[in-house]
Amino acid sequence: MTLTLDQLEDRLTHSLKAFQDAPSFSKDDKRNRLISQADLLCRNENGVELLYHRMPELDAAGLFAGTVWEDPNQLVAGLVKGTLLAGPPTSTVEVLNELRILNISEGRIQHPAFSPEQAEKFLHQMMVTTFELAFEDFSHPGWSKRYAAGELKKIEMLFSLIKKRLDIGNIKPALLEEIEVIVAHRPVVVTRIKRILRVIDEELELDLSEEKDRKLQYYIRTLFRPSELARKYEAHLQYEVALEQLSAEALKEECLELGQSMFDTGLVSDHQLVLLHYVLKRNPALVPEVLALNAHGLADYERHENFVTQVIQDFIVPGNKQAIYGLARVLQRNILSRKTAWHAINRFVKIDVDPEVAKRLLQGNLSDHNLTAMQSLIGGTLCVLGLPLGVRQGNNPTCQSARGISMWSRHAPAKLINMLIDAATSNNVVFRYEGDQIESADVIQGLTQQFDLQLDPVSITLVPLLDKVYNEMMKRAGLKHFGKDPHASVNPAFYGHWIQTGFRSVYNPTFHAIEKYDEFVRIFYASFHPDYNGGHHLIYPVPTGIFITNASAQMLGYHAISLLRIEEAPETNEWRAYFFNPNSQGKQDWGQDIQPTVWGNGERHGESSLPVNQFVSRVYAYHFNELRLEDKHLKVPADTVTGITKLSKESWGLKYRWI
Amino acid sequence: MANCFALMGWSLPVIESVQKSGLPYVVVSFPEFGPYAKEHNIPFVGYKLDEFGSHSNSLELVEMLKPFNADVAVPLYEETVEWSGALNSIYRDDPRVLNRAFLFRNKAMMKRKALLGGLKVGLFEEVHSKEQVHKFLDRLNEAELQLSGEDDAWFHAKPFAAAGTIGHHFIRSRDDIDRKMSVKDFPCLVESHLSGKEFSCEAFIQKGKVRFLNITEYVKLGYSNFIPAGPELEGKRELILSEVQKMVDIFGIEFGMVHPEWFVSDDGKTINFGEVACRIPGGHILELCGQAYDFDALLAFVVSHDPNMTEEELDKYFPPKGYMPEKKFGNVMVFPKPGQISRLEIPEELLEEPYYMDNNLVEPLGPQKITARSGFGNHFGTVNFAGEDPQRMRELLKHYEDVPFYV
Repeated sequence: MTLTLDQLEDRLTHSLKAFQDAPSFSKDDKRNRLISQADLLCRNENGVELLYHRMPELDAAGLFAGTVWEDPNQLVAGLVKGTLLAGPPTSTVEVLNELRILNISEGRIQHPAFSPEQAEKFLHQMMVTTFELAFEDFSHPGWSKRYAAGELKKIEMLFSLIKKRLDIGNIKPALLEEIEVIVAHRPVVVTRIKRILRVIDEELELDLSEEKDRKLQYYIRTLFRPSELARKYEAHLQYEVALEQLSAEALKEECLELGQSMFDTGLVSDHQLVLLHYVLKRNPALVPEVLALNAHGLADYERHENFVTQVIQDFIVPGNKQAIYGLARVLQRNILSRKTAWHAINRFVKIDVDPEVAKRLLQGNLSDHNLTAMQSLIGGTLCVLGLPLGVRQGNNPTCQSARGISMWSRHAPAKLINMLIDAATSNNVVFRYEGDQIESADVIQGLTQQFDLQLDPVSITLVPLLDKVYNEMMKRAGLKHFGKDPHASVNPAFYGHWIQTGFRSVYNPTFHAIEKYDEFVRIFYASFHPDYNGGHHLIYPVPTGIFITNASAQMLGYHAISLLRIEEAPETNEWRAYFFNPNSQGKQDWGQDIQPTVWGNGERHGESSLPVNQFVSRVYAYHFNELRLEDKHLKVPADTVTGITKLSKESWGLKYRWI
Repeated sequence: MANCFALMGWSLPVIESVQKSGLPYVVVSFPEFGPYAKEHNIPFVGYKLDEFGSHSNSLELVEMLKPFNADVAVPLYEETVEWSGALNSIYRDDPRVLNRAFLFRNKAMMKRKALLGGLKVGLFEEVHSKEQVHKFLDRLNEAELQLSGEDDAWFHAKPFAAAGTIGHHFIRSRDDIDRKMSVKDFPCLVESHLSGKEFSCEAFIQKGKVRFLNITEYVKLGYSNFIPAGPELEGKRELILSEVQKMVDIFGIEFGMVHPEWFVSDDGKTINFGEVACRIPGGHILELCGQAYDFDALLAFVVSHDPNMTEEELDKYFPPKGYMPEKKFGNVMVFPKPGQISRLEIPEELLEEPYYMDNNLVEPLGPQKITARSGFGNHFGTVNFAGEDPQRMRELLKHYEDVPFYV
């Protein structure tokens, strides 16, 4: 027996009046009540329409005044997704905010500093970054496990309204850009791009006379219908039958085409899986073509053909077909030819997965197919080993762990596999910290309480454990080395002792101030920049702590990344710092025109980059080699240092004292 | 009509009501509130109300209030009752006003006055040690004609001057005394358990007569209540009104509002007196009262303290005489359960409930630890309900007390 729309509207009007009449000191309380009324309306179609129509009144009453939504120019489209899922009252206000922006874009609300064009642009961006939610029907059980049904309804209702009023075709250019960025960046988890492509395929119209639309079609085809044959015989069984009819020549062509598509985009189609299994049985000589292997990959495949065949047959299924790409990359990296990795992986494929871990892996399965824990795990491991820079932290504050997995995959794959064996079989890992042993199972609290399991299977298995270990190490370091930055001792213990022994941080905890910044910058250049360190490239990645700033250069918090190389960008010859960022989804904006890119500046798949000076302006700590420093830092030009100091002082530096 | 009301204590809802009415006022509270008052244009006098001595006393405060022309003091909190009493005794040139204020601030004294006046109270004593409590229990059991092997009589231990249920111990056996009470509880008041349904009422007094009586029904003391009360209590209104008037006569209250708590037997023939306060009751009771009877109860509270207001003037601030509304207004005060909480979750069923009005629950700032409650302070917000069926209201309030809003 719910209330009618009229009754709800009455209540809204009543609450609105109370809000309008409230004196300054009780505005907040009245606002909360008004929002809770609006919340009721958000949950059905008519209610949301009503709120949309009355938004000019609500906005004029000052609904958003004094909140983070107050100034539309400060809004970040990329944050909308998280806010909509954050629960009431935040999620409610976000819904109301989108309705208000919609009203501005249609001219129904005039804002002195935010034009209808700006509003429309924001909505387009928002639709792209919130794409998963905008076109989701929330039927997958994973949703109801994590979020209240009413909250999901609100999101559905909001986007249903927006899609009616906004010309969705206009977001295609933004979507294309998003897709191209993801394709260039090659993350391990490709759920997002696949969903975007599916929605475009099913719900948007493509105009093939437009170049951008043709490009979109290319990506859609790569994922869903990668060859002419696949376009003719979309159904998998039919496709398989059609393969049987092909001549040897034609079959080879088919393998080359599909292999090349995968190589170019990093995406694996269902048809490719069918093709791979088919040639494995009928014509194994073509397997390297399907995997698009180069000479290195081919050599490794030939040496370990039996094992690879077994892996494909046992573990690669529709639910984890991306593992085909992972496998191809693993072969290209010649990982199987490393004795240690070879032994480790042979052992790995035979383990029994611990039930707790299996549960996590099952929860993390976002595909529409069933996956056993082992299939999930092995498939995921192939992807992580194949794409060390494709590991991401997801919606968890676990950048340190993600960074670790990436580094181990790159430099110590056997160590990673060995750790996975421990974690997957006993849900436990053991680390050494300065003479003591730390077992994750003994640690009660990690940094994070609830994990968002939208991650790759390796992270799902390891990160909850690593997080606890890392947290425990930080605690012990804080006690044992009081007054010193704990990262100095924790990073080597956690990541490995190849981390250099020198350590610099900008922060002096005793005085709560930034000190010796000059020297900090100089040592950085003298250690890592070929122009100043004697012309050398980095041997190992450098775990680096950075300040994260928003587009207005205001400090948001701290983050863990690794510096991979400092080199001249092709074509421009500009010196750039290339780094691995575990929460990178593409371009970012750190304020002061500092915008890390992920392609177009010489980045390899998975790297982000910035001009060196801009990069350094955000760094707060790094490890370096003291023995080789000598006096090189004295030769770094003064104006380089001054320029960087200025950038720092005017951004995160505003929050600190400088001595 | 008063020249200016001195509101003793910091309460934004009261300030809002008085500000809206246009009546002249000034707020007296701790100096920390000064900057905020200035920012929001609230007339304010900062005073260290928690200190008393040659440097801090009512005479000095009267002087500080002179520029505002204050001539009526209104107590908003337990701790400002004696300050108001002192000021009003100066303003009315009647020393007994101050003495009366102390009646409200010492539960033992309050009980004695009630007893002298003929109200029905329990057996009570002032005690200074656990031994004395044991002796009290002996005497109580004896008076209750306890046979060996029978359970001990129940009684309550309360500090003399604390609001709500702070420091209150419900003793149900001799063991409880040693288990629940400690040295820092003494001295205190012990009183035998009063049977009957507990309820409170708000009586607005003018020239010693109760001119408006509200009866509040508790679903669970400190967690939820609704106004007007259900028919079982409202049916006893005449008895309740006569007892309240009796109490007012005994205590000699002339102006203001009192908030007495009683225990009434099912047959409605016996009423026991619990205690009485003369400041704004907790649990948003006056807000609910105002919504139910459609008047500004907080404002009525304030103007009731004005000795110079005429009947006609007062009528404006109160609902029509004899008006009994159909709709009940109730609320649940939400306290997170002890443990770790990280976010607010409004249950679906609440949003589907037609009696549900709105809420003002705050979002936790981040994961936090909640300890067991003490004395009903600091709830995280209220959930408000309105509807006509008292039985349904009771069900809802009872149910939502237990629902975890914070997980």
